[in-house]
Order: sequence, then structure tokens, then C-alpha cells
Amino acid sequence: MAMIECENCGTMYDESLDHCPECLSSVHETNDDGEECGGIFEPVSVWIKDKGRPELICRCQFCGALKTEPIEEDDNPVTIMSIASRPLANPPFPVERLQELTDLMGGQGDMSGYYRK
Amino acid sequence: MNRENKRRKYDKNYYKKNPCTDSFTCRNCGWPIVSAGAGSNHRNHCPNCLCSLHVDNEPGDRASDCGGIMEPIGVWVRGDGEWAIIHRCRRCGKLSSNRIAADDNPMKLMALAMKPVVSDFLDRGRLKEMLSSMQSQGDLI
Repeated sequence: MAMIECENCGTMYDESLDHCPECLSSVHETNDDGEECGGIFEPVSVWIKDKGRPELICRCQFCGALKTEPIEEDDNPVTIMSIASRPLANPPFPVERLQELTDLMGGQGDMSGYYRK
Repeated sequence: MNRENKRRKYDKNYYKKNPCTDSFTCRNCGWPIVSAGAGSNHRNHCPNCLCSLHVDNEPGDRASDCGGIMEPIGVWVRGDGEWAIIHRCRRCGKLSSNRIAADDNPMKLMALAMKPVVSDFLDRGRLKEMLSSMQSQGDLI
């Protein structure tokens, strides 16, 4: 079992893994044109693929390429939660006026599911 | 045919340099969309359902042969604190990131951001074990 050092945080991890289990970063080896990039893929978001499989969305810090990677069993849960909750901590609109803003544009969706009748 | 129309038809890179101001209907939800109100000249996705179309390889080149519906799969926070939507093509799986527009449906955006937090892909039982090993004080419900 060969170990490699994470380019981002310095953790030693097994080289068969797709990304570092602590900081969830990996290295962008080659881009779509087959040229070397060498940038660090930082995790930016989490999404649930069909059948409830969670995947990490990574973005290359150097060239901006995007990729998805399945979340492994041993990945640090604190890091995952911090990535997943980052947008919620920084909303671009006033959250308390969510309903009002949606009604204003005539958009679909309301929050009635939460409030019991 | 006037000059502008001719250019639009024959210049392959027309939309790289010029914004598209056509009105259209969303292919996914049928929402009527006009170009005004996005806070940018380049509207990328439907303000109601946040879906987009896979028409470009590079922004504005209209060169993609796929044409599938790009559905929103997540949001992320850019370095300047602004949200961007990550789209994934339903047909070919291409990913792309795009800034949110001024008139995007806030309810759908919030739902998109809350999805990974609300889903229990992280095993709640194991999280509780972790919390007690982290020496959390007091009881959980």
C-alpha cells in the first residue's frame, strides 16, 4: 500500500483514493485537451446523485475545470458538512423575506410544507 | 436582410461579442423569458426553474451538438461571496458553473442550497458517535 502526500494539506493517504480524505482535494493532472494542468481541485459543493449517492463537486483552482467525485466512507464528515453549508451561511438575498421575494416575481414554490396546518 | 441580422446568421462568433436579446420559452418548465431583468446582458438560465440549455462549448460559440437540458445540481460560493449555480447536462453530463441572476427564483435557489444539508447521506448515528467522542456536553434530542 503506497502512501502519497496531499498537495493541499500534507496528509499522507493511500494512493488508490481519488482525493485526500481530510481536505477532499486532489490534483488536476491533465485537462480536456490532454495538456498538463497541475492545479488543485478544491471541493466547492455536494450533490446527491440518483439513488442517494452523494458526490463532491470539485473545481480546479488554476483553470476552473469542474468534476464530480463520489464521497468515500472515510472522508472527514466535518469537512463535508462545512462545504455543504457554505452557501447557507452566505445567502445573497434576505432569508426572512424569501416568500415575499418569490411572490413578487410570481415564481413557483412556497414554504407551506414546514408549517403544520 | 439588414446588416445586423446577416451578421447574426453568418458570424459564428456573434454571440461571443454581442448579447442575445431574444425572448424565448423555457424548454423545461415553459416559463416565458425575456432578456431584461437578469442584471446582466447574458441570461444563462430560466429564472423560475434555473435550468439551462447545453448550446455552448465555450461561452457564446453556440457550437455544442448536444442541446440537452442542463439541470441545476448545486450552488457554491465564489471567492467574492457571490453564489454560482452548478449545472449538469442531463444528456451528456457536462458540468458548468454560472453566476446567479438578479431575478432568479429565491425559493428554488434556497431549496438547491439546502438539499445536501437536509439529506442524510452522512450517517446520523455515526455523527452522534463522533459528537460524543468529541466530548460534546448535554443531550441530543
